Amino acid sequence: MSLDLVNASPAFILGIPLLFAFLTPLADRISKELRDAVFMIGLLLTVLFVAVMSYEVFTAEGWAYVFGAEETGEITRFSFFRIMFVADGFAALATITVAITALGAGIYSFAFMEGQTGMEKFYTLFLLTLAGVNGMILTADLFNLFVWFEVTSIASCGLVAFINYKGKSVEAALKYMFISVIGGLFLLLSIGLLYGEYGILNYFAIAESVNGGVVDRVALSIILVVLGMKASSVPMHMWAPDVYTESPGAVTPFIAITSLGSLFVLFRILFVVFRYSVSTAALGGLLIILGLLSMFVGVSMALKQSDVKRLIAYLSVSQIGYMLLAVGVGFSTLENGDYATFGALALEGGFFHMINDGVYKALLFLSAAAIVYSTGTRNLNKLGGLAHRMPYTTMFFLIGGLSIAGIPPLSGFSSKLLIYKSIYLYHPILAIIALVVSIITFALIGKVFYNAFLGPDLGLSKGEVPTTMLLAMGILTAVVVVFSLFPNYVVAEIVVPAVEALGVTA
Amino acid sequence: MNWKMSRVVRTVTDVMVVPIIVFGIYLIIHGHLTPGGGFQGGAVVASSTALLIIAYGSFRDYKKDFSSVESIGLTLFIFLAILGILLGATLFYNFGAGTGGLFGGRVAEGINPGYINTGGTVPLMNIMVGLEVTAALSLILWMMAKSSDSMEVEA
Repeated sequence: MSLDLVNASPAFILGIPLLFAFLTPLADRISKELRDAVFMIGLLLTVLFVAVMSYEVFTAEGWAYVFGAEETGEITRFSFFRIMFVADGFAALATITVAITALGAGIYSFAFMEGQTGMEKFYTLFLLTLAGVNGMILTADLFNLFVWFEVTSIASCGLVAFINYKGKSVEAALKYMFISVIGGLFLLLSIGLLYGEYGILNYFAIAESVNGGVVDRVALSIILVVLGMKASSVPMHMWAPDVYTESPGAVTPFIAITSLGSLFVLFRILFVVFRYSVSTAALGGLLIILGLLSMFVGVSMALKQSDVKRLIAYLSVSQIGYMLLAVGVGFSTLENGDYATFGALALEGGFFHMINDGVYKALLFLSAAAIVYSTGTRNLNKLGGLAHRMPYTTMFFLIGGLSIAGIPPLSGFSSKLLIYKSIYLYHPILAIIALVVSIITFALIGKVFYNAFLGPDLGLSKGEVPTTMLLAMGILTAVVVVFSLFPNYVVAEIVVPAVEALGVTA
Repeated sequence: MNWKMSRVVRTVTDVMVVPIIVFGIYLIIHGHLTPGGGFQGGAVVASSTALLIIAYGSFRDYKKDFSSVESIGLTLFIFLAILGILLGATLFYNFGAGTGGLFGGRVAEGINPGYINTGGTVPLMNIMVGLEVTAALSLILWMMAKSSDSMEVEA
C-alpha cells in the first residue's frame, strides 16, 4: 500500500468537488472571502486532477480505478462487483471539456452573482453538479451511473432556479426536474432489467454476456431515450430552451455541459456494452435520424427567436445534432467494413466537435449573459450598438459565434470539416443537410451580432462587464483559439485516444 | 413561534423524547449489523425534533446550528472516504476493519449474534450520515413550522 496520487486522480476528480461542496457552507460561517476562496480552491484542484489524469492517459495508458480495493491498480475477478471508474482517453476528453467549462463558469459567477443571498448554497450546488457530471462520465457501473445522474439532475435544478424573477426560472426548473426525475426512474428500470438478466452491473462484465434479446433491446431503448433526453436531442428537447434561457447566466454553460456529459455516457454505453449484440447499422441509423432532426429542428426554431439566450439555446440543440450524426455514422460502419475508410474519421470529427462545442457554447452563453448583465434585457429588438461600450465582450462573442458557425480559421470549422468529409462518403445528402444547417447558423450569428453589437450607441449598456467576467470569457476564448490554431495536434493527442479507448479498431 | 400544547401532550413528549433519541442512536450505531443505519436512525432522531416543535413551539433560530451540523457530517463522511486514498489504498477503502481500534474488531465466523465493535469505517460513516440526516430533517421541520406560523413571518 502506497500513496499514488496519479492512480487515484479519478477518485479525486470526484471526491474533491464533493468535499469542497460541503466545506463552503462551513467557510461561509467565518467570512465571505474564505467561502469564495474555498470554492475556487475546490474548482482549481478538480481541474488540476483532471489535468493529471489526462496527462497520464495521453503519455502512458488508461487504467481502471476500483473503489474500496486494498491494492491500487490491481484488477481481480471481484473488482467487477465493486464500483469501477475508468480513466481512459474517452474519459479524459470528456472531463477536459467539463473542467474547462466549469473553470469558465466558476470564475464568471463571482462577479455575476455578486449581491445575491445564499451564495454558499450556490457554490455547493455548483460543485455537486461538477461532481455529478464527472461521476457520470468516469463510472463503469450502471447503478453508479443512476446515482450520478440523479445528483446531477437535482443539483442543476437548484442552480436553474437560483435567481427567481416572476417565477419564470422556477417554472423552467420544475419542468427540468419532472423530466429528469421521470427519466432517471426509467433509467433505473432499464438498469434493473439488465441486472435481473445478468446479475452484474459493470459495463465490461455485462458486455461479455449481453445477447441482444428482447429484454436487452427494451433496456437499450430506454437508455437511449433517457440519455438522449438529457442531451436535448430533438424529440426530447423541449426542456432545453426554457432551462438555458431562464437559468442564471453564469451557470447556463454548466447546465449545457450536463447535456454533453449525458451524450458522452450514451456513447460509452453504446460502444462498450451493446456494440456486439445489436445491429450497429440499424442503431447507427437511428442516431443519424436523431442527429438530423436535432440539427434541422434546432436551427429552424432558432430562426424565429428574438431572445438572445433562447436563440443560442436552440443553436446548442442543433449542435448536439452534429455529434449524434457523426457518431451515428461512425457507429453504423463498425460491422460492414467501412470503418477504416470513413468511420474512424466520423468518430474523430464527432468527438472533436464535442470538446469544441463545450467550449465555444460556454463562451457564447457567457457573452450573452454579459449582455444581460450590462443592459438588463435579452430582447434582440431592443438591443443595439453594444460594441461601443463593450469591446471585449464583442470580440469574445464574435470568436465564439464564428466558431459555432464553422468559419474556416476557427475550431468549429476543423471539426465540422472532419464530419462533412466522413458523412459525405456515407451518404452525400447528409453532408448537404449539415452544410445548410451550418450556413443558417452563420446567418443567425450574423443576426445576433448585427442586432446586439453593431449600430449606433443606444446608451443601453452600463459599460464593460467586471474584470473577472472578462477573465472567464478570455480563458474560454484562449482555448478556442488554441484549438483553432493546432487542430491537428488536438485531434492526434486528445481525440484519437478517445476513439481508441472505445475499443474500436479497423 | 409561541404556541404551546396542553400539559398532557407536553408531559408525554418529555417522557417520549429520550427513548426516541436513544432508539435512533441505536439504529445508527447498529447500522452495520441490523436493518437500518445512518439514514433511518437519523430520521428517527429527527422525529423527536418534530415532537418537540409540535408540543412546545420553537423560540430560537436553529437554522444555522442545524445546517452547520449537516455540513460537518457530510464533510467528515467524504473526508473518511478520501482518507482511504491518503492511507495508500483507494477511495472508500475500509482502513479501520480488523485493526483492533474503534470498531476494528474481527468479524466472527459462522452464525453469531453480531458484534458491535466490528465494521471499520462503515459504522463511522453511518454516524456521519446519521448526523447529516438528523440535522437536515430537523432543519426542514423547523422551516416548515416557522413558515406555517402566520403570526410571526420573518425575512
